[in-house]
Amino acid sequence: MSTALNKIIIIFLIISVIFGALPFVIPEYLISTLILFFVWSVVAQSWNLVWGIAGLWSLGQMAIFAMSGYCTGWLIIHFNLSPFLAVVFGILISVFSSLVMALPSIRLQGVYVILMTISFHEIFRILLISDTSGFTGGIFGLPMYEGFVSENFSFSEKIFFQYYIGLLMFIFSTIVIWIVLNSRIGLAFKAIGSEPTYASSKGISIYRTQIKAFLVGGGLAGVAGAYWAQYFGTMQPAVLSYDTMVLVFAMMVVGGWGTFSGPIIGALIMVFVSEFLHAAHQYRLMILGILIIGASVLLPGGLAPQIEKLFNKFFKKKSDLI
Amino acid sequence: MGIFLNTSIAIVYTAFVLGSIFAASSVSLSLIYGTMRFLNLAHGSFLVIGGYVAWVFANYFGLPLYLAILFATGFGFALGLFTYLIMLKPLLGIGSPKWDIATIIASVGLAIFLEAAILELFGPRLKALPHAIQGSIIIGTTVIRYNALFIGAVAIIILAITNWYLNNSRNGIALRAVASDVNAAYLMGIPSKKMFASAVAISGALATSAGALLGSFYLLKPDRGLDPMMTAIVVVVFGGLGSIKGTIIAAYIVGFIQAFVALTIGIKWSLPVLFAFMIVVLIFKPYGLYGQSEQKRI
Repeated sequence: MSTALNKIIIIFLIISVIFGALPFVIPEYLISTLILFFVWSVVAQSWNLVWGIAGLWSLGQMAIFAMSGYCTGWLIIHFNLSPFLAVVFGILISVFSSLVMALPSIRLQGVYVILMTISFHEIFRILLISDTSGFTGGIFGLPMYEGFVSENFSFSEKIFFQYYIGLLMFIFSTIVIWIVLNSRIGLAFKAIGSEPTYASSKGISIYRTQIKAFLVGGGLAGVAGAYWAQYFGTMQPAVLSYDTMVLVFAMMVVGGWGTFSGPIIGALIMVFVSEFLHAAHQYRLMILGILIIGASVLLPGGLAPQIEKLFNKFFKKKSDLI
Repeated sequence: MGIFLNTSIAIVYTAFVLGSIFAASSVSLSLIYGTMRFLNLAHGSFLVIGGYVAWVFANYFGLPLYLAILFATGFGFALGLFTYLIMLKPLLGIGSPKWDIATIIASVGLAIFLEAAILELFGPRLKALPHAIQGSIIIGTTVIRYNALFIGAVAIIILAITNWYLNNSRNGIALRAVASDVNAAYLMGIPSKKMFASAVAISGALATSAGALLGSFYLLKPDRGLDPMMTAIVVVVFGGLGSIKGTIIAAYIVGFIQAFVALTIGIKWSLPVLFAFMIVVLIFKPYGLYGQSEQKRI
């Protein structure tokens, strides 16, 4: 166990150093692409915790993400809160709203959970868009406000700071998920995800564990949402659109749901594929659709198990030596 | 009293038309979930494609609306078969949770592809299907368009044919057998793969014909499939996934709720109230009106 822990810590350190050094070598537009990768990989990981590992088919993750972001924005604009406090409250509200969503969902199974959670998503989206009082920002989104990084800096300096805040958020969330997955709660998540009947016969309370999964997943999605709100300095209803939901969901599935590294790999692939596909102009969505169909038909378990297989094939002996 | 009467006439008329369209556009979703546990999230794109195919036939070939709907139905049949061959057939037999998620994702990919393809082919501008029957009659303050009544009637005809097919034809009975128990049906000598193929093809045909009806009631746009799909999902869940009878009853109830909310509280609230209604239904009846629990089905 301790050698495995050491290995994981070393891998974390190497990845952090690589990502920490990246902004000095890559062009500026790739920095913002990497920031997108940080945000979406955190959302995909939190979604994977709820859907892939705990087996709760929730589509409400984007609503929680947007709820946290919007609350951060509202608190900054309407109540003149400092961005730090607003982010903290945004995350707390996202945890609370995932509790609200969890309570009616835990009684349901399978596809019905999808429908329950997507109802929450749709109610939130429609009420947000159709509000005319100006509080929610309506269909045009919130007006610009100041995030963590002061407006006095130039654009390239700002994006530099934002990159490191994003990197911190990404590393923090990934470590949290790793710790959760390797703790007793994580084992309980896996148990109710794969064999709910057996798990409950072994004394795991399904309802409580499901609520915990919703809360942890919702909290991490809230972290990503709050970061999103302070990074862009605005919130747009586009984060609640069907397309965005599908994109993030596809990250989880292409990478491999139910695995630790799957959503990260999936987010990396999808963010860069969808970025490079901009060269294909109007055919971008068609190609994206074909890629998603191909990935789900050819690799129903996702990429991560395949990569693991390849890795084991080549490095089996070496890992034994370590 | 006058206002009350007029409002109730408007509600009944709107509920009838909406309910019929919802029933026609939801039955396909229910059928395909019942037979092969495939929640088709490309359903919205199927609806939109039906509208556009009917538009092409009505606009370029000058066909009357009912013939255009017929052609849209045929196109949907082919589209469903194609979907089965490229997407569902390779995934058959990979086991329950993987199958559910892989097919949902594949259908989402299909939806993205189809929507982008429609946008590329037809452009983003609104298109209108011609009316089947011109003219209207005014009862009280409600304008009743003959075209809307025609659409409602066609939807009921489609439902009746589907119902007859599922209950009386050999193929339909085999389909229902596969829906209730795949293994037992297989042991009785029913070729399940062939049944799956025909279920997807029939549901494609139903979806596109319903889409053509929707297109002649509203206007056509490449991204107009999402709201009808959401409504269809609400209807199917409310009725109980996989139950055709429940779906049809639920469609009229949902149509009534939408008409009532839109005409009394305001159209802005019709979808939120609908979703809130669905949440309440799921809290008290976790498997819808006529649905059975998953354990019993397996």
